[in-house]
Amino acid sequence: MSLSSTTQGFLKEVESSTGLGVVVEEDPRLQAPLLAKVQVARRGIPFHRVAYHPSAQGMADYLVCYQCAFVIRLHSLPATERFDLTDTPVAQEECLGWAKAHPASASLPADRQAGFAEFLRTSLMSMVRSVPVGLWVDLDLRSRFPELRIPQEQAIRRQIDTQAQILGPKVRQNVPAPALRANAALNAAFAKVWARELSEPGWTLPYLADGSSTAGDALLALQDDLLPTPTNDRRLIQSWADHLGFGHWLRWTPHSP
Amino acid sequence: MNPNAIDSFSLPTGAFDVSLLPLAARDVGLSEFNAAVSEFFTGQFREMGVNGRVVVAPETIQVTWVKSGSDPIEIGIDRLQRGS
Repeated sequence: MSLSSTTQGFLKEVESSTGLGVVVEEDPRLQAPLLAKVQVARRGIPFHRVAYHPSAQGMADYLVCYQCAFVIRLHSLPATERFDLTDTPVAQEECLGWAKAHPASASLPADRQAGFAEFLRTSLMSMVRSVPVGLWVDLDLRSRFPELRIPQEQAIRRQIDTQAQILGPKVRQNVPAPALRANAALNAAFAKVWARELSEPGWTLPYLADGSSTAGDALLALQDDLLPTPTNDRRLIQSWADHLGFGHWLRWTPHSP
Repeated sequence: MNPNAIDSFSLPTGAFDVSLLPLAARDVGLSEFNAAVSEFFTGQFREMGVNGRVVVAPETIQVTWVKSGSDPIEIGIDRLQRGS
């Protein structure tokens, strides 16, 4: 599909700041709630890759700009201040402990427990990496690129819908409480920002009702203490993870292209 | 068209934050609890300026609301498009 001039501008900015181009393509393998993702060029791969789900084609311009913004933020920093985020072995150990202790997964075979623990770990790591900085990115896009607002709102509405489903009985039965609490706090923070921005007060109602609204407010308070500059991205992510109780999972290593 | 004319979510009844309710209505499953939960959401709907509905069942609380002034035909089309 053809991308807008705004999106072309983002792609050029990534290329000029990193020296490598961006390949944009549809990827039906992306699983909900993920609408798009970026794979930064490394280990000899000579391009960055932004993929979006075919069902999100109407939002492609916004999704590509959003993903490119993360790369641009990273490369706007001096090389010595660029870090990659991974997790420590403790993350998998603790998630496995949750899986073993939770009634719904306690009796699963070991390999399925390990797989479930990996799902919990990657989900939480992905969320804490993307939600706090993503809010900064989104608010910046919203203020500077009005032409992206319609697809941005579509994407946000879809996320809000998906996240609210997580509160339902089926998911609650199957997910260990620590993971559920962290997930709900992150989603409550996301809902609170967009409820205010898009005048949708009902989006916060599920989190008010289940008591996770306060945890979301606490995360946003940490965000309010920082300027939304790329220099603060690492600090913000770490502060949210610390507050959610898994800051010790995070391992920051110097960015290696 | 407003793509979010209807919203809904469900919670397990036991997951409702009882600290939002009067002390005398915090025992999950009792009629006082059910009434207080309904009253809580009714108050929220009023603040939001929407028409809403709450069903408090033994296992689940189902909450649905429709924005004021929403066109029911547009709502139906939207729900079909969203596959929900």
